[in-house]
Amino acid sequence: MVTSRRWEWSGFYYDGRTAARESVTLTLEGNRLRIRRTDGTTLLWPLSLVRQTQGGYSTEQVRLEFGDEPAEALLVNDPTFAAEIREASPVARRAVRRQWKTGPIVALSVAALVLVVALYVWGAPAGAVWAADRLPKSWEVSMGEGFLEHLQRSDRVCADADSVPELRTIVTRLTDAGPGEEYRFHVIVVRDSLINAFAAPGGFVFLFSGLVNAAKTPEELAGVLAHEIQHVTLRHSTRSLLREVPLRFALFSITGGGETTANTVASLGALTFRRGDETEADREGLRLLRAAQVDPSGMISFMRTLEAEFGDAPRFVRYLSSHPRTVDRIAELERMASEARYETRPLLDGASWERLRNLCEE
Amino acid sequence: MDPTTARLRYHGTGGSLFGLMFVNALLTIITLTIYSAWAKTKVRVYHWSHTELDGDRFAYHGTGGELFAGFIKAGVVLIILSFAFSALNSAIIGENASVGAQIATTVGFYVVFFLLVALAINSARRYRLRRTSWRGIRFSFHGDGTAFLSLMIRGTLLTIVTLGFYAPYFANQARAFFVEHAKFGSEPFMYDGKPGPLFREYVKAVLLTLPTLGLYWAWYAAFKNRHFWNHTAMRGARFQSTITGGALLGLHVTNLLLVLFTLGLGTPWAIARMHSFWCNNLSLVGTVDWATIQQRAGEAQAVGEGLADTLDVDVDFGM
Repeated sequence: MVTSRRWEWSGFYYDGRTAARESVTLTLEGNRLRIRRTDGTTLLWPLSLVRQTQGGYSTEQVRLEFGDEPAEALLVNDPTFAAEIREASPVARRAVRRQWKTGPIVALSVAALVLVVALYVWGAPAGAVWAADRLPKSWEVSMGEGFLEHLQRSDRVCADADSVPELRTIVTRLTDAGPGEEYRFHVIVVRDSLINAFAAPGGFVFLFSGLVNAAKTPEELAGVLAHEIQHVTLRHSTRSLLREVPLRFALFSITGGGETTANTVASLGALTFRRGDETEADREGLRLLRAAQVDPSGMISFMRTLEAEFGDAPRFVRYLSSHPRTVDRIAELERMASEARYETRPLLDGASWERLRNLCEE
Repeated sequence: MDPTTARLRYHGTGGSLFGLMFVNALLTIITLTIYSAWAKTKVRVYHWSHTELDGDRFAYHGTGGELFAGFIKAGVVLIILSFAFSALNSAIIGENASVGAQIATTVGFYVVFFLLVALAINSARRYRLRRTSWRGIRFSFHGDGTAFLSLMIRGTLLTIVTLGFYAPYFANQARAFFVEHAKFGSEPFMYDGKPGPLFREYVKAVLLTLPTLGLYWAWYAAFKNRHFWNHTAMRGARFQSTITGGALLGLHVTNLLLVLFTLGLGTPWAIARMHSFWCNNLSLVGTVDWATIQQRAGEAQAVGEGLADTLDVDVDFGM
């Protein structure tokens, strides 16, 4: 013989017509909830038609509604009600949600938060590497063109290597010696007194006129170009932009599609390379110089100019920054350059170099 | 019958609110903000179902879908408005515009914007109250948009002309408008607050701003809250607020520290503390025969709410 416990709970009933509160006794009768009122009459609510609107948290009353608006309502304070009625029948289990306590909610949220952060910190870079290797070349090129258009619109483009024979000479020496015809390189000189250069995806290398002017020899400029060309070839720029995708996405959501805000913040963060990327571009850049028979001491001496210009960042900045210490890079380059000596050919004669250096001077 | 005191209590916890807000933030990001209407609704449902008056919880019946439809309509209104003004700019003024004409159109834009915000505040209130219930009976709000608009225009202009000294009168009128047009079922709320005491406290706050480094405004805020609630009544029962300036200041300072030192992660706890504070300091004194209060049927559109949100107006007046 099966013995079953007779569940009984107390609650409050509201008829939806007045604000009167009535104490009632609840029992389960098959798949129906029996509500015994103070006047002795009973109401029967089929559980399949009952709507629960509150009571998912253990800090809430369980609220059950029945009928069209204005609906009748049942409020149950008994903290064991939800668990017990769910145990009583499968239909009740569908009608009444389980109650969550605060502790498990906090534990789950913290775990989810850690997961999201971990996914961003490790997942985004890994995903960027994966995606950068599979992205069609044409997409990379159009990403790079975006940078070019942006600079053209602000009227900051000074010259294109294609139209400057001296610069074209240096670029073709390097690209001809390069690892193949993967990218067609566009070297653009940007009118800006900063000593800076950056590589955009798809073969776009931007040299600031300040940098061209600060280089003492064509070999120094070739050293910078070799480094940037390798950033492109090794898809560092593409990865860097792809790494920003989750951040852009989040910013877009938070600012509600405030395009300008998202763009500003994202472009500030865009094109930052990781420490490993810089070291790799140095190493491969040096290899490119060797293949092109360009004197590697130019690359090293320009690095010294940079060190003198900017110095070394304080320790805590250095740790956070993506660039390895300049002195470390110089030491590493010197070590590699001394390992393999090779025959070099000059790049430009003195007059051509002077013309190139002062390309953007008014 | 002796007057009885019905207490308000808040049962929400920072922990469960944290879980709710975290999931909301995640879904809002993933859906590029579309989810925010549902997120907002979930938070409201949470707050109301954790707020108790005389042993029973409130309930919020709004849905994310309604709010989303409101966002969309508000967006359309704003787009039409900005198109109309840029068309006006180029058509009437043209290229050789005088500075005066440019200023006129800009001012015109902001005036229309201000009027829309005022309308949005009013209809947001209508939407929210109609979707709130207690003991199965819905609240409602019957404030007329144009009446509120004229109240806002007059109040704003007079406040500007009097260098701010009209502000307490304006606040009292706005409060009266909100309370007197609100109903619980068939039962209207009543407001009998006079502006005089509020004005005196306001002058005091202005005079004490420098000596107290502005901290006295916490006491003004507490006074205003007591003034508003202690003059709000419903069928012989009257609300009673026990908020003090010191307690209010203490709450804001500790909440600020709580949010700052947890890098924002403590925000849900700060919100829960704030709600507890408001509820613990509010009660309804008097005896009401709830059985005589009848349900009223009524519907409200979600458009006002969405507009207020898009225009970034805080429409929470703490009622």
